[in-house]
Amino acid sequence: MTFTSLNFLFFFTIVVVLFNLIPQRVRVWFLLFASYFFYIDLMPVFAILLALVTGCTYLFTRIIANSKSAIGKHRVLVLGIIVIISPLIFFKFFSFVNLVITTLLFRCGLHVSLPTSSYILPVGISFYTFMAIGYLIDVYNEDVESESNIGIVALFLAFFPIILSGPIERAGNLIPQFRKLQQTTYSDLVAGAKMVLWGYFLKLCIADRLGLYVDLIFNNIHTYNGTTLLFASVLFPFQLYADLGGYSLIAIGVARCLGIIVVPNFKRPFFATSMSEFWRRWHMSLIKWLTNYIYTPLSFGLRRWKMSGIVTALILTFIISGIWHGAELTFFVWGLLQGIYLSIEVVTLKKRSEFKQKFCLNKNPWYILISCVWVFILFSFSQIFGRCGSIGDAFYVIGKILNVLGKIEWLKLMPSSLGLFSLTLLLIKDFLDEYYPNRFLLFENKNIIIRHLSYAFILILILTMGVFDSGQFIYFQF
Amino acid sequence: MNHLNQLATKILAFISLIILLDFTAGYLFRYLETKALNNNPQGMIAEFTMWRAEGDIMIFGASEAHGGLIPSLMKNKLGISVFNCSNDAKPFYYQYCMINTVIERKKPKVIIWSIYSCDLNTPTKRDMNSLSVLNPFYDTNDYCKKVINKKSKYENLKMVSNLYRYNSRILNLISNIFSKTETDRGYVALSNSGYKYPTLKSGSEDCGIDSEIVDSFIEIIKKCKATDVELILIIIPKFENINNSENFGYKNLIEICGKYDVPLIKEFYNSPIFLNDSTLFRDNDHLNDKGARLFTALLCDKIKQIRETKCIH
Repeated sequence: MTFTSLNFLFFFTIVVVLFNLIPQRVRVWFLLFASYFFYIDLMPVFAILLALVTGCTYLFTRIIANSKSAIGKHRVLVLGIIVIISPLIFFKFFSFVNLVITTLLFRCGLHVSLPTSSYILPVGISFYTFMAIGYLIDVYNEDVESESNIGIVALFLAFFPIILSGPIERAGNLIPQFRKLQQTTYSDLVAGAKMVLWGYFLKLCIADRLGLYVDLIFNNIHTYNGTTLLFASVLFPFQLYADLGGYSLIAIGVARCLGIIVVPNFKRPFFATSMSEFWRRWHMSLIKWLTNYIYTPLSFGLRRWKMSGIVTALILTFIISGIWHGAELTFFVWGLLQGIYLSIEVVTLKKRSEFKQKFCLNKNPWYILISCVWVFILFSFSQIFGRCGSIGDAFYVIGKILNVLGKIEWLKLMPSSLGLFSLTLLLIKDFLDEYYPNRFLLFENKNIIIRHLSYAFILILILTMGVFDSGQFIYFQF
Repeated sequence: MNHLNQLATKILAFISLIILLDFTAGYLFRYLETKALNNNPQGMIAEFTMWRAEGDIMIFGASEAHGGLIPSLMKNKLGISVFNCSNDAKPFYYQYCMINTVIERKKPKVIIWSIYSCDLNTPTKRDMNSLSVLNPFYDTNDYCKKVINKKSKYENLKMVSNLYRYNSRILNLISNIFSKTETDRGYVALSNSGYKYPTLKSGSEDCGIDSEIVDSFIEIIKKCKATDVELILIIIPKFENINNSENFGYKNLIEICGKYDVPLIKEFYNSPIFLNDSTLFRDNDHLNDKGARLFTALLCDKIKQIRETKCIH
């Protein structure tokens, strides 16, 4: 059952109705049951793994909370992190580590075959593992209290709107809300429904439409010329934004319909004027997690290196982010590129600020436009590594873009052209929200007719232009 | 209670608005559909085949038949009118709907159906998705309804919406209102511009069969017999040397044709005439115009021979 299936709409409606009808004391257990039902429907056997991670998280947080000695606490924390992260490492990196060891041994003249794993990656494991580790560290740092009700901990890790692809929530935000689950208010229901509607529009009318073209081109990179590959590379970041952004909005909206507020994941990323700003707007929950639990401790540990310490911490953090996406060299390069971009920005920050002040560029529309385009180019370039199946393919695409020009395959673009129309709508909306907030309101308009016509318009676009057969969200693979 | 009433009223008002818009959109789409069909019938192959296509011989199949059989050449050779109703990338169930509908609407003398052994296999998700072109006929055509309902258990629910039926069609309709596709009674020549002549593929193939598809296949054969329509199955050459000796689907196809006495013209597939000349092909799966002319001529001779043997006129 995915968010785009009719089954999910039935499931979601039933959950919201029952949630509001049952007594408050059983709501946690009801949501936990619904969440496991949702997860089991995808892949029953992996629910056992989720339950085990939940059990370990609960156990280690309770031990940390009840431990009196600081050394003991620290040891439990380290052990807890190792135990919780080991399934993720096994499922995600086993084959990769295997390949690296076999290759190294082969180069040393040893022909050794190691045992292989044929298991597929449990969906959502990267997300709930990060949430579990975050919770463990928060309890250790005494940022949150250890939860004594295992049902609430289990719900925190399995909460159905966010288990598959986030947003990666923090215990400090969700657990207090689970402790006092109230009936949904009218405003929550309406706000949630609006987000769900817009999320479906992003996913079905933009991501999946553009995906028809992008997937066709990237799956046949040897067939198409450099110009076509360049055009597909430009479209891919938009597809990704609409896919993960759409998923996140549906997830946040569904949670809101249950009265639960989940952190946002995107904030008009293509209007960022620097890479550092871009990463404060793109996949915000992951970046916040990486900042809190990796970058900050790392840069603190390397503080004696001054600027070099910050650069090292940045590059390492983004390499970890890349590896989190997949145990492939392509993702490593992708992470490395982000780290390099941000490092250059950090190193040149002072000079750039002086330059901007000297020429009063901060509010200059041309400077803003050029900066946005530049950020987009940098991100699109890095995404070639994120999209290609291998590092060789990525360099092949880049080489072709630079050397083999030609005509764009417009005919192949035909099925995606409706997606370009929808993308234009999205960019106009983002532009207005960015530069003219509260001026041109549609979903939030005070006039009921405009409001309802806006909902109806989006619904019509979804029904006429949506791709209903494409299946999965891109981030399910992570 | 007031709060609930207010909510219920708003939801009801919104649903009414959606129903009204959906209803209006349905009219608009049907109007555009008719306009596109009038302006560019060849661009609206499914609608044209369903409602208007006529010929003593009618050809069905996917892209290999669309660019592989030339009606004007066939008319010259056989002396009767021919129309090529083939539609690119359309699977068995599409042909099933079209052939059944055409037999009921305008009984042709001969139906030529381009088929491959793997067509009897269980349809892929992509095959089923490509049936969405039949959605507008859901209410009016029982064959389409039956086939669309195979896609998922909720299709009948989805088909309540007029907008959903015309999902992804808007650009196609608009472009057909403003443009014209030139064809030779359904035939579209495939050129090699932008394509290199293919290199020969070889190997073996083993396709399974799907019992529902086999049943539907036999249903069409029986229907042709009952209505006195001569059904001729053909396997159009591809630029590949495939060993079918272990192909379960191929064996079944031959067995069914033998059992129901349906001619299956398969000798040009894997024939040296085609396998020795890559200049007859646009790519491995499709004949180019030169190949189509050769194949059509050879096929006509074969059809003449079959018809003379059977003394059917």
